[in-house]
Amino acid sequence: MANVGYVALLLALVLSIYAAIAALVGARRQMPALVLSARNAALAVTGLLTLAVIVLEYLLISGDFRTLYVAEVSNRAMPIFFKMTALWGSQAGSLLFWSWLMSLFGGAVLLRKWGNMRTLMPYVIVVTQFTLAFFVSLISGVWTLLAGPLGSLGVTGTAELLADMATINPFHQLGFTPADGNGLNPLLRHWGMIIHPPMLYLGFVGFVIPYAFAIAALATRQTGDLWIRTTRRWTLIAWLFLSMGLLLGAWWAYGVLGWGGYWAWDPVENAALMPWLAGTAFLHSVMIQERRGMFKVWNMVLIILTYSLVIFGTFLTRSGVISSVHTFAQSGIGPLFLGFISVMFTASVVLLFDRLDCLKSENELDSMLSREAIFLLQNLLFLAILFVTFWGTIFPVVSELVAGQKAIVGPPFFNQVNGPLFAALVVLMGVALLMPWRRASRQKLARLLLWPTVAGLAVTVILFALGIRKFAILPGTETHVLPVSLFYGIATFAAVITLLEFWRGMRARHRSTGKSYPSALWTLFGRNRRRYGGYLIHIGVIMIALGVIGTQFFQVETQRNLAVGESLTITSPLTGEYSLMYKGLESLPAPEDVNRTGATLAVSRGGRDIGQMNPTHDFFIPQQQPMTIPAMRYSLIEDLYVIVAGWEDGGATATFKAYVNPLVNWLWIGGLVFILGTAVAAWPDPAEDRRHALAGAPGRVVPA
Amino acid sequence: MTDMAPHGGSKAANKRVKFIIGGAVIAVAILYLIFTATQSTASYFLTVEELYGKGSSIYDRNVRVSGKVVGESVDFNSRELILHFEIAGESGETVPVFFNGPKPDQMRHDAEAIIQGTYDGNQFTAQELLLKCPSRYEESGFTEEKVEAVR
Repeated sequence: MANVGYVALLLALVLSIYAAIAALVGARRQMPALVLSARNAALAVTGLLTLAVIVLEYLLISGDFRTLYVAEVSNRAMPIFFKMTALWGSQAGSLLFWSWLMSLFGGAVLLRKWGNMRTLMPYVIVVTQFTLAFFVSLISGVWTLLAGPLGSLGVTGTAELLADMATINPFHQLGFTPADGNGLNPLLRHWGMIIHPPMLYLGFVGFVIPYAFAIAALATRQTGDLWIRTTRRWTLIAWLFLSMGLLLGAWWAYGVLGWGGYWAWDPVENAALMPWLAGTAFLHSVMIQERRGMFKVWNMVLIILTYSLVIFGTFLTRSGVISSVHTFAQSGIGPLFLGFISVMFTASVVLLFDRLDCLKSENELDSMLSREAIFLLQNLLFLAILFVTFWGTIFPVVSELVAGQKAIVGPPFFNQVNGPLFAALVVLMGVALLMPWRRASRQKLARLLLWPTVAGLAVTVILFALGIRKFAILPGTETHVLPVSLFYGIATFAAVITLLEFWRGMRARHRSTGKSYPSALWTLFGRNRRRYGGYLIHIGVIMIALGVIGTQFFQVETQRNLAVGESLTITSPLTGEYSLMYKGLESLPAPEDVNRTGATLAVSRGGRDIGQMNPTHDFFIPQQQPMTIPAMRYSLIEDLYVIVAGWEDGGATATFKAYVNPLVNWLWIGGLVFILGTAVAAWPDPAEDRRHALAGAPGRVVPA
Repeated sequence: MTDMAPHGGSKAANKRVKFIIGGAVIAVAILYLIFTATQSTASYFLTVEELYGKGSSIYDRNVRVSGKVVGESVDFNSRELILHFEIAGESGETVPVFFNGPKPDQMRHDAEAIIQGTYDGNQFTAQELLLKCPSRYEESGFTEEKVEAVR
């Protein structure tokens, strides 16, 4: 059975290479039959990878431990659901899963968009199938074929690395059949962690589509906004999945890892954030091209960057280059990835330079006070955050190469630099909505900005007066002088502007149609999904900002060892003092491979009893791995978050760590609003499609 | 790129200069921020031997040191959350470590530890302990356990 999967993988590799070459030759020599053949090959690749995934699922479910991958990530005791999700439990399966999703997107584009895109499509096939061929090659074991020749040439180091890659093949067979497998990493047995990787991968592979169209547009010199309009929804969907992946990852880290936080600027997290940042800049800046025919080169740069960061992100998560200390060259995957990124990046940039003549701007930037200029500034800020994140992520490698000494920058670096940049983005998020295209009149702008600014300053001053007197580091210095209440003022400023936009639109519709306010609001979304979906996303971002500021500056934590009957206290900055009294430890019912121990704490606030909390500690016996599961009391104001860190003498004494996380739930609520807004913006809009059909390519878009 | 503006060329060029200067100012400001923040937050990642090699130049500076836990040196007062242990480098040289916090589960002989904190010439005061054990799930992976000191 495993052989069927492996043959499917090899055929997929051969056909994806064929499809890429045939599409290229067919397009250049004007041979439609060859292009059609490339398209059929590409669709066959989707079918073959689907078969490979089905085979691997079969092997996982039936417990075929002779297959190395199955033995690595599953065992007999696992429920069938976890066996299925073990498909992306480790390296080989993840790469197969990634490739399969990529082939689904590539196939869907071919089925949906073939009709009116005959000229662009061959190049879309070239890019998607070439990318796919690279990923499939990593897991099909073909690179090991190079190990022999390289070894005889004396390049033994590289040869060994490549030879090791045989085990990255998900269908690699062991010489014997183990009695049982290792089982899935306990940390991954959580539904947040089960859907987090697929979301992230869908986001990653989704961005390959707009990139492929961008390259196709360059190659065919059809550099109008056709490629942008064609891929707008793909881009939004990719972005939606990537955003969901990031949010779920944060939520999982908060709920499962038990360290009281949700984001640590870890290389693996940054790997997913960086393409998101570039993609977000791209999503905004293409609006300017659609509307005003400007920033064409810039948009190309952004999508090339997004694609490169997607591949770089996969590389970071899959190669372990940076996260671990001694594993720089653990597998041949690292060098191959770097090679692939360099090839794609260089080829894209060369193509871009060659086509600069057909990317001329149709309009000039008229004024600093215009929506275009604000968008440009916003783009710069996103790229600045991207660069800061990139720099911090690769700093250990850079410092080792340059100074010969490994050094790292921790979360304080990212927070100090990115924090103010994010704050500036929130300001722009408000201002941009008030900015007209082309040129703003100063008086009008000042009038529109007056009340939101007053509201923002009022919040800043009132919070400060109420005792919110924390100060953040002023960037560029090491002194804490930036009042944190100002960040809340900034959030208020942007929120007031955005909400006023909703109010104005709603009132106008109410007056013109006589509809009730709620139904006016509903039709507002229906009439202009892009705009109001976008504003809803902004509201989500502001809510997320409330949570981030709250946890970043006002988190309180304490830890203590308690004997039964003793209490620890922790003082919330918002609601007063919590007291947690240790009542005892007991063994809890759990699956047979887990020892579960739960502690009981009686919680009171301000002397009033408010219930019990039960942090638990799971010990996974076969893996010899502990896992600390926090107990939480949720509210919109704050979470009380407690873990049991250890105990002695069967629980006579135990160590607890408690956190108060102010406003943290606004992060998750904001995340939901954010996702809802993206769905609204991406929802098919028949009216918009008709407008495009009327406007025709490559003309202007009718103002929305 | 040539000027595509329908109106006066010199005015547009003037405007473009303004935009370029504006962009450059922002870029320089951000690079300055990155530079100063890197300087103030970067910390060395050292082996035990390198820690001793640096001598007094790194006393009381925030550094990370990796080494292997010496099993018999581990001494934990659970009531006060005071943990003493030593980590050893490849040559066998050891650093005494003081940590005010819970003892990690994986604190056993030969476990790979990364400690973050300051060294005063006698003792390393750790703010954070990260213990790594080879993972059973990824050939090149680790399972990590991180604990922070009482603040």
